[in-house]
Amino acid sequence: MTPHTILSKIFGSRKKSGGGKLDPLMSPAPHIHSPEKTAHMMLDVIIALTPCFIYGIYLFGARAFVVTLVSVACCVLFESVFAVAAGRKPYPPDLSAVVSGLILAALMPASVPLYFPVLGALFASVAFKGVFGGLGKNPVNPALAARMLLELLFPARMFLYTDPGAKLPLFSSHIPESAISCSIPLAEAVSGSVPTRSLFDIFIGNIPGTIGGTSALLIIAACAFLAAKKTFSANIPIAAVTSFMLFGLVFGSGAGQSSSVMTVYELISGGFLFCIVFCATDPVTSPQGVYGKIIYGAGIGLLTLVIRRYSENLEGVGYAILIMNLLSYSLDSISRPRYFGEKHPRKGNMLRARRPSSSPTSEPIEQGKEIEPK
Amino acid sequence: MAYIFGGGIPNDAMGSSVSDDIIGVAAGRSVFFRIPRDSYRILVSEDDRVDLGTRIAKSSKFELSGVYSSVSGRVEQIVDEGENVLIKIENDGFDRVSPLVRPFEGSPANAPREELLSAIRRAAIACRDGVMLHARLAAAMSPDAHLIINAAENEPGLRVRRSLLFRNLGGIVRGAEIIMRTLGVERADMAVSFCRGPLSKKLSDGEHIRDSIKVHFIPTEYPFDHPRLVAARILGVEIGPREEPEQRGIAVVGAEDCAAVYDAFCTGLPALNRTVSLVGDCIKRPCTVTVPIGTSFRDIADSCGGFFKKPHRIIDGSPMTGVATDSLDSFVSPSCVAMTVLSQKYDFAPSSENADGCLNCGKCADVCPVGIVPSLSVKFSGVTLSDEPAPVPERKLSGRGKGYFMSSLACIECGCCSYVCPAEIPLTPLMKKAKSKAKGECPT
Repeated sequence: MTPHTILSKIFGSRKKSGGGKLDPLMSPAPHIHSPEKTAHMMLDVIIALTPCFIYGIYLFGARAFVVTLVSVACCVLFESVFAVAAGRKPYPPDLSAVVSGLILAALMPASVPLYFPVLGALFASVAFKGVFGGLGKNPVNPALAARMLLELLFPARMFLYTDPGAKLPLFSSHIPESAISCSIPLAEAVSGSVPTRSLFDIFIGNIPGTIGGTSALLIIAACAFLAAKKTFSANIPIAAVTSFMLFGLVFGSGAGQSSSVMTVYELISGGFLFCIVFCATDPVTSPQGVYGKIIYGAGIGLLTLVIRRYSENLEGVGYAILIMNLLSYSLDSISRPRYFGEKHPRKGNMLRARRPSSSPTSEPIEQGKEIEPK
Repeated sequence: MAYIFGGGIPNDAMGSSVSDDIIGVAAGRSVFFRIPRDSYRILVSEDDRVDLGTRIAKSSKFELSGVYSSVSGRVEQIVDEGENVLIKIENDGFDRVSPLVRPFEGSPANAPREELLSAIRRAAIACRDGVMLHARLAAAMSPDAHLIINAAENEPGLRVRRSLLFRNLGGIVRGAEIIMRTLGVERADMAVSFCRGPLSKKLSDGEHIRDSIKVHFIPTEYPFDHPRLVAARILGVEIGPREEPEQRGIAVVGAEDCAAVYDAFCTGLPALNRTVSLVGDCIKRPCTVTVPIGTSFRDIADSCGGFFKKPHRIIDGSPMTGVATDSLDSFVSPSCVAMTVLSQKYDFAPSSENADGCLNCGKCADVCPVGIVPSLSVKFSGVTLSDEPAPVPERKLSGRGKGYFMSSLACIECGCCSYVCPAEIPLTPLMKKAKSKAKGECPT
């Protein structure tokens, strides 16, 4: 349906009174539009992701770049093919497929065989997005869901982290034994011992991990950038980090260290920060209201800890976000903000009129006081 | 204190490099009046001679008033348009004042309130929303009435009130005093968009504004100049969707209406001129002009330097709330605020006729000044822009969905949600439909 047919439906009734010719310029108010479109939002996310990738490629070499390239290209390709097959426009120029591809790649270690990003892109674009009707109708974040499915299918390879700076073959799926890292900071932190890497290394991201998700510093910078550009509101990441820290103290951790220090290690060493900044804030699958967003973020923090403590899963944050994704619609339902003038169900009108101090009266107008019309 | 809702959009979306001068523009060769047939009786016929201030139509309803000729000349044509009658008056350029026009006798300070109200009714001043000023004041008359002078104006492009504050503050204050006497109140509040520099100094130095008027500065985001939001900010009263400010005894009167009241009391002429802003990227010299009511947009544009781009869309009113019109032959109505002429750059077609392309991003909820989540309200109400039934069969709404649907009643139709929507969904027209549907379902 083209804009013109839509307009003709809207303004069909104008035909009889107007000049007889349909005027496509008669759209309803408002007549100006913010320059920020979907593509701009996606572009902001791409810009925010770029430093993470540059750093990831610096750490893990050209293979990281190849994985990213394959992932993005496949996401765009599969999305276009599926859209054509489903009778939609071939490729909506909203850059969402590029973002999906980038997030998918960022959540993988550089050591994965190159058919992983292809499979992941297929899951993301078709199984978790296309069949639901495209952007805006997917119930879960496609890139994250695809990544978690890959983790279920190939757990060994998805957690095969390599040391920063290790030489990796460009295309071969065989990774030399020497490159494989045996000290993963998150695994150490979760098991209750202080990671062998220093806190500074972990903070700037000089650790084994996924392509995009190692550097807490760059992720916090990206979050600040996106919040400043108003691409998303920082409610979700802030609520998630706060609840993670709070419940981290409540749950406690293994022997030796105080639980506050260990919670900080857990917070910055795994994929938690990346996931809450780039996956949990996905507008499509998060609640719209501010209260809903805060509950959603807090739920992610809590569920991540529960999964880390009570299951074998190391990260937990992926499943936590997927679970909260599915709940986001319900969260919106239960947390509708009060609208202007709505009466509180119990307290009546929440606001009482403030009477001006000198109460206006209806006394007759005083004589003598005059206003001088000129 | 009232809970202040956030939201709003910056008021500089149309640029802000406009001067604060008001340029007087004379009427063109003819002026036009469109008069609803069922509420007015036409008093002139073709070829009649009319003067400045001659009544050409009158209404027996109290909430309406007369229609007065804003030029002197000859009734050239009376066109039957079905519901409306279009009267075209040829301007002879002499501006003869009708002999029936008399200035207000005596001082407004001594006159009884009923007399002041009927004088305001004779002045036929239309507020921005189309309600006549005297009807608004009469509805707000109560023992605890309160007057708010709304001199705040945050809509992108509009400079009417700011220019009036600069050029005619005395008129606004004296008009406000007449209105205060009419309402029987001793104090009034004045809302002004936050400003710096000479205007702020002028408003706070105590020389120009009497003690009876208290100036409040409100944020400059659009649409915090909306009467309901201004009342909430100044008086701490939230006026719900089912009532009007007047029912609570609150009269929110625009600054331009105050100035018009003062003019009418001084000259005895009804409101024949209107101060309108010229907005848009096509207009060579965006400015604020005072024109006789009924002047065509073409005449205004010609006297203000014309266009430097090909006009693509002509809007009667402001860019955010105006009504698109066919051509430059539209004319200044008694409640007109602006003439907006936009180029091809602003061509905007709705992406869909319902909220199908919604990304759930919540930007509409972020900017909504009355706390609605427009995308969910539209989805739950199941409205589309076309008259066809919604593609999804309607479900009976229960509890929560109904809450979202009913919240559309509070919509003030400011246009912010459509403005920010990254998926370009026509949310404001959809909200209007949802609102009327909700009103139909729950007519209280």
